[in-house]
Amino acid sequence: MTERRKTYSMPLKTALLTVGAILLLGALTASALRLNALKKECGELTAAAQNVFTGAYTELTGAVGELDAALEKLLVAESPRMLALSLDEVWRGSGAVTALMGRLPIPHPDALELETLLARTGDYCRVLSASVLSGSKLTDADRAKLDELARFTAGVKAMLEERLASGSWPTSALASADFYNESGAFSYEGLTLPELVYDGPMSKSASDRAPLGLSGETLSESECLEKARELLPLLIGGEAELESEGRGGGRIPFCGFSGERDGRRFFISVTERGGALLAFEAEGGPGQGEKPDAEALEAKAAALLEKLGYPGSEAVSRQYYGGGVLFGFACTTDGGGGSVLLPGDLIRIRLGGDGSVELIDAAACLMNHGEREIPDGLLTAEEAAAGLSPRLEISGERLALLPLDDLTERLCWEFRGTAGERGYLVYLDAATGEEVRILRLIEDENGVRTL
Amino acid sequence: MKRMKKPIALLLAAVLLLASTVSFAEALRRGSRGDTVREIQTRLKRWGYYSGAVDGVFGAATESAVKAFQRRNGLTPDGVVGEKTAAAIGIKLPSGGTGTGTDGNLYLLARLVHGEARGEPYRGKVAVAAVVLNRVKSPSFPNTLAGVIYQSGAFDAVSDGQINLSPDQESVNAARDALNGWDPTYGCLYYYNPRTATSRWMLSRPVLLRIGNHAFC
Repeated sequence: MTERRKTYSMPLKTALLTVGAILLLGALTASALRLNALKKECGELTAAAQNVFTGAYTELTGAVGELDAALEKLLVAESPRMLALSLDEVWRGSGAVTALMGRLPIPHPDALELETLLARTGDYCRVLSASVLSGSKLTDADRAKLDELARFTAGVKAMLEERLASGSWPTSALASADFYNESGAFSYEGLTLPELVYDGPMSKSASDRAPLGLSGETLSESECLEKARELLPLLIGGEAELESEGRGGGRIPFCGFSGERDGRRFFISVTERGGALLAFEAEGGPGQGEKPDAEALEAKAAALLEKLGYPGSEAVSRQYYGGGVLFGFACTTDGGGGSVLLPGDLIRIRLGGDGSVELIDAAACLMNHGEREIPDGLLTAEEAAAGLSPRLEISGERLALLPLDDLTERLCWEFRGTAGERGYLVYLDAATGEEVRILRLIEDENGVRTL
Repeated sequence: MKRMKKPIALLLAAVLLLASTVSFAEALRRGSRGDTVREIQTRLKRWGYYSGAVDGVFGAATESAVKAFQRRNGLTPDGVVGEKTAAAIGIKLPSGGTGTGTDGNLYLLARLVHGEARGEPYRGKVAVAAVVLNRVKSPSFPNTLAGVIYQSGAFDAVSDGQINLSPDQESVNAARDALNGWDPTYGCLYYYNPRTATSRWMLSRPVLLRIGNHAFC
């Protein structure tokens, strides 16, 4: 028996070993060839990436040079027209610089301060341009600041030219892991960043502003929990056990909670100050279904907002999706002999097709909803309408406090109308009749929105 | 037997060493939602494999129906509608792309959300989309959506190619909600996973809130 086994097993074993060795050798050879090819490809890709970045870097240097030139021209611009044009040129130039900086493999912490300052330079000039167009003159302080900015950007340009001349980027800068790591690879040592203090869409004052719509005492988490419980019957039609989801910081500190009702989880946030509803969300996002009765849902949403403490708010936008409707409701205030719309005091509310509350977001309203004083002596609608385009066929008008940016509002007459088949909202200053803004009004099967 | 194991092991090792590229196409599976799922359910119902609701939700019943279909048609019965199963059913899987016209930004943002926040709760997905939009408005970042998303090294999903996967319906909805103005982060510009983040600069930033696996700051 043993001898027969030996006769069969020896050749089979040898065959297996031989096949295995051949396969192994083949695999190793293929791997080595592949590795070599990959190495070559890697080298080519690195070189290509270096070229792309060098090209972008060269463009950035050019763009900073143009920004510098635009700032220098401002130093001797005098007429309102030339000032406005030159200030606009700086604004456009800073936009180009910001876009190009985003294409370079510069670690974000290294470039953060510089990029922010260059973007704010353009923003500051845009604010000055609007001021000049309204008839104001540049102050001595503005001129001195523009001079300082011009000298600073000249220094940035010189720094970039020196860096460009020194050679290619280190390979590690191309790796994503370095984007959020300070490396010192991009340094502007020796340049003192000017301080820009102004009010504009990108200014520090805009990002740091406190909410206007909060009032009352600062509550503890347990007090916030009580407030959240009080809101539940309005939002989910009953009660539910709530668990803490923690606290949130930022401009509107809040306490978050979650719960479940009828098999669906929900989240509710109330503000630490005053315990106002900040947000509500039923988990799962928009569902699916046929287009619902938007008029009925709008009435339901308005009634709910009234109970939540937003009486008189009006729907300014409507979008169908997920079988429900997403509304934008704006608060109103009295003035000018009627009611004035506050589009910046916006609450988003989405109702499902069955009327259930899927989402409420009151952050914008809580940031902006403060006391407003509507002045007397405004133009009548007829007087303001004299400044409208004759192509516009008006279908309605009302007073609205139009937000121009995070910090500025302007009281306007809002005219709704059409020119041909196209819908528009045109805003004219309620005191001077000046055209302030034009929005395209889109009403289609998806709802009503503005562009 | 012992003497046989060694050569077999060698053989297996050799087979494994032969590099083969396995490509993973974006497929529909349990948990997927959307119009394509609805179409699959409609067809499987018509052919008698599925008796549940045509609701666009790929649940257990849909998965069983897909498996039954796959077994009947000589496909691997894994309950996943990949390219082969989709072709056998006669549908086209959603493909990647930049979208067209005004949907371009929506689709790009949805792909980013899908790559960065798969597995996160819905509001976490909206939060990731909102961070991207907050960066567009910030003076510290590029001023276009594509500029922010494709900023070199800013998002892992871009660096490792996951942004090229087709987004699921939930990611599209989350992107749309963010574009409609919902920001669960209330202005945050950064987020990270505390379990995997290594950047000291990022970890030094004050955390303003947490959603799912992400800390937002």
